[in-house]
Amino acid sequence: MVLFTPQMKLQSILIFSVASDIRLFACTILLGMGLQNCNPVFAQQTTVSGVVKDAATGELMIGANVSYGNSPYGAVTNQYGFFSVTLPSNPDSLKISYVGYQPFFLTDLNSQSFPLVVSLSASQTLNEIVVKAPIEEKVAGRITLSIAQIKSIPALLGEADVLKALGLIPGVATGNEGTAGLYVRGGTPDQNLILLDEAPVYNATHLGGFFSVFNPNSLKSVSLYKGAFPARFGGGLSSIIDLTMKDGNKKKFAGEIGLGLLNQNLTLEGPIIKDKASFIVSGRISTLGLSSLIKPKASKMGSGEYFSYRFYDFNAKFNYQLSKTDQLYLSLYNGYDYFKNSEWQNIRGIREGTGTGLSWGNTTATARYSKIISDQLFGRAALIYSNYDSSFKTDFNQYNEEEERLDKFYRNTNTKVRDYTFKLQLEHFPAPWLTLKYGTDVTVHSFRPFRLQSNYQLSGELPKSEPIIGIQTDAYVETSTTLRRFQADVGLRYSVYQVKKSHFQYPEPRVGLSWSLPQNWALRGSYSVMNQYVHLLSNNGLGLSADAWVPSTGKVPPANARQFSLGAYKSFPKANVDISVEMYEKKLKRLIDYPDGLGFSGLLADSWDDKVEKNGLGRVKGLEVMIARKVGKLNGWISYTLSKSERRFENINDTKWFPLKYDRRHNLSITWNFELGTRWRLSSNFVYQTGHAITLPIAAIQIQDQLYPQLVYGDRNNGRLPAYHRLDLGVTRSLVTKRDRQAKLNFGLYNAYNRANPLYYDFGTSGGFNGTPLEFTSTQSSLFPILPYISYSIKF
Amino acid sequence: MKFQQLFLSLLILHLISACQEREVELELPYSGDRLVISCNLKASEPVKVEVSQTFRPLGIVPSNTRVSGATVSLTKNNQTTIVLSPDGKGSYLSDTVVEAGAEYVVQVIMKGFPSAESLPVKVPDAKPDFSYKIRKNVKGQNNPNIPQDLVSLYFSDDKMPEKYHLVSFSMHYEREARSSYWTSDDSFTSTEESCFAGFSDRSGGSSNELFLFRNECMPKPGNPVSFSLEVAAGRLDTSNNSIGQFFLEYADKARMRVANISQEWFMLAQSENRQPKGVDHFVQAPQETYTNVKNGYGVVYASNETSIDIDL
Repeated sequence: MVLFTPQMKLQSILIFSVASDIRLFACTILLGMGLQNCNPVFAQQTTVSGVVKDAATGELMIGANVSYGNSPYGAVTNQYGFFSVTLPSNPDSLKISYVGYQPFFLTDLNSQSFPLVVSLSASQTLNEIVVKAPIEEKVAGRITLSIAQIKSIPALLGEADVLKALGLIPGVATGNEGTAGLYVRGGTPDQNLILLDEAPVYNATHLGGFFSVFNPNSLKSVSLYKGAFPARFGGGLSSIIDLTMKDGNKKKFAGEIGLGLLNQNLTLEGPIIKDKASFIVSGRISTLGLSSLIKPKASKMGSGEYFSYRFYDFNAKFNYQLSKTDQLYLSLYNGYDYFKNSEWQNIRGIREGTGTGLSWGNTTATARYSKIISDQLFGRAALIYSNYDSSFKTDFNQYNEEEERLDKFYRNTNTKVRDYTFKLQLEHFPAPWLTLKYGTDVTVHSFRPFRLQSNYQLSGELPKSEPIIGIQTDAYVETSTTLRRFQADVGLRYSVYQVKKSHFQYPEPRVGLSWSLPQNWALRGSYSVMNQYVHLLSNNGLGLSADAWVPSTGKVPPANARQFSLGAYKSFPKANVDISVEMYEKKLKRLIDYPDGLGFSGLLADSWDDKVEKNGLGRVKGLEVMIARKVGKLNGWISYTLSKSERRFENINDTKWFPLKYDRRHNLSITWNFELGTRWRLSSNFVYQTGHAITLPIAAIQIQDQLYPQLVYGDRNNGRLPAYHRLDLGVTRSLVTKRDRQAKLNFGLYNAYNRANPLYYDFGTSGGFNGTPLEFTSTQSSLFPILPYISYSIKF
Repeated sequence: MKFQQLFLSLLILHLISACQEREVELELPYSGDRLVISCNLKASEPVKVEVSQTFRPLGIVPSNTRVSGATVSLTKNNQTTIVLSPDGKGSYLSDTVVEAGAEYVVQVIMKGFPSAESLPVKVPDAKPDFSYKIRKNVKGQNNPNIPQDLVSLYFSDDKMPEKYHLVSFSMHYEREARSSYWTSDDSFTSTEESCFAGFSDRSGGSSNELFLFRNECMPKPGNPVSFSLEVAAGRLDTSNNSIGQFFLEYADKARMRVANISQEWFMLAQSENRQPKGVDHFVQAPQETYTNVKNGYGVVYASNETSIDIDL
């Protein structure tokens, strides 16, 4: 007698599922070859298309679900809130839903207008069920974070930060304490392509890297692609971070004021023409008097020192609905940081001053036009401008007692990269199980990495200042196929890049697979090839202005990454809990790095591509686990990553593999919120990371005639700092003012148990005089102790 | 409810575990004992090689790391080899003078250590060919309250085949000699790190600050390389009262050293200059320590030097 155990039953279901899905997948291939009569599901079809909006604000909603019955076929609204779904001839109704909103059921589909406009209303119990955890897409490696979640995470000095929030996602490691640079799946921050309304942002940090330039109040959605990259994206080896700005309230005038320790911010939005045109402007400026925190040093002896620092960022977006099917968008971003240090002394009536200044910033602009061409075809075109420049200035001035200038020397070093891009894309929904996207991008890059201005003679060779022009042309096709429980996102991107006399062209295949199994299980897999045509020369990972973007050259060809991932996903609907496990392997080639003994300024020459270490290899592998509870009074997620990221260069460590500096073997974060009634929310964030790799001395020597012994450093990254861990606690109090305005008071503690996380070790000597023995010392430096924060925001 | 309990348990667990802060000691890997060779092959002077050994980069620096009893040999132009005589204190000597233009290899064999051997080092062919001028009492760009003279060196460009040079000034006072000079902005305005390097040594029993540079970075032909010399030093006279009174003591003379040097010396100086110190570690990784010794550490370099006393 044969007994069927539950496991055997599950196995038999799986076998049948596999057989069925393989048949359907084969059918897809045939369909792709033009055999349309292979469609096994729908004989007669009805297409419904339209846009989904927030009923209260008129904001287009990205990622809203459109479904009917228990069918696996449906649609998700795109970046413009558009959906198109082709249905069996007479479905009962269509369900349009979005987490945190009341679902909308559409009946009598045949009599609906085109395009359909669906307005969703927020749930009455919004405070409890608003999404507070990352939403993973069906396909592996794609995650979306809600702005509400980002704002609810306790943060350094209370500054909600988009990039730091992404650092709590599996597969994403962070760099130095407090910094916003992300190391996604063993990559480096320059391998992240950050897009703000499709415009690339080359330096996304304020305050030397301590927080990002993105103002959460101006954003609608934040998506991270760390694998299974859609073919429409290209240019970032390790990740694509896609940020979409809010459109602006189309119903009524509204605003928000925020007061924080680091900055003050103001957001205004409202209709220009009700339900047709709207705007949003949002800006942040550094706290007035922030500079005075760095106390000026002065003395009565006629000398002094002065520091000043300030930053700002400004977002604006305007949109205008030309007709029911046509819409225009204009997005702007501008943000800069300025730092200056001046020293002066007054001797015998002559006043001499020296100054050092740093500034860096981005400007982006995006003009977009979208059109619903038919019920199955959506088109969009975009003109994009992006500019990043940074400057390092030094000057020397001399004045007499009459304040007449006697002398002036100055030297300015500027680096700049400027992009002009045109994008055209069509989205085609020919069948309920198939979505096609195809398009082309043309980008003209203008690099001016080494521009020098000075009024004194330089004896060395002057860096040239002519811009380097690179032209990148991309074409892509992206298909998304859903066949019962199987979803396949298959795409191909083809890039052609021309710079000076060098010409590169590479195909980039992309595959993302998802297979839904019974009992809310799903299997996922992906394969992606990415190429990156720009390189960052930087003296550190801080995001300071001392960096320069340079194009690939004949000597330093574009870097390449190939990534494979496989994972499983399980959902527990009753508990609102999702668990995902994913492993990945990534191979990188044609990487660059600094040679031993050469710093950033040594690279500031046209011959940089002779000086850097090139043709480096990278290998990364990892396992990611995420447990998330998206909704409920207690919500949040646990993220764990086990990973190893290594590099190999011919002239570093005798061609041996060595760990990437921010290779973190273990990376754990626990982020949760607890809604305490309707007014209070408690939140916490705990991070544990293996200490980053450092280069340690392996011996000491005393050389003839030298005063002090020298340390002999070993192989690059031959040691590690102790583990980094930190707990942040936060409390949010929701308030209603006398004038019935909603306000929020946030306060909490960063590094609540005052862990002295090591930032770096300094090795040196002490003693050696007055009879004391000369001794080696190793000093640990830490950055942030326990730091309380408080911020207040009010909506009107 | 179970999920909430799980979250709360995890929170309490990590609060408790995190509170157990403990001292963390770095375990520095020690590469093992190796020989360290130090040698400046000065043209026309007897050979002197110093041999020491590596030691652990932790704790008290050993007072004596010199290695006695080694066999140290010097090979010239890959042909003749002489064995140096030990002085018993870690120095190995020979009366043979270093020949300008020759190429030397130093080899050290010592029981218990891997044999160490330097890469070939070429002694500069000639002494530097230059003239100099002095301008008295110029206004200094640094420390303008200290009297300064400007020394301008005019190198004969066509007679400068060497790529690396050294200039140093030592101001001689009644009781001491000290290096106190500045490169003039008129001649060395570039700060490219591949051009210049500072180096400190204690040859001759006093501390010296040396300025090393590449001739690629020198001013155009006809333009001098200039240095501001501090010709006086601030002193405190406490003979009349305990608070004391500052006065200037003028130097008797300045000794100028100008040399053509081998690339190895410049590389050593650059390697030291580039090592991060203090907060530098935040943004810069330590640099590989320069050595031209196989199976060991240290540097063998060469120079061809002129020394001139300048009356002040």
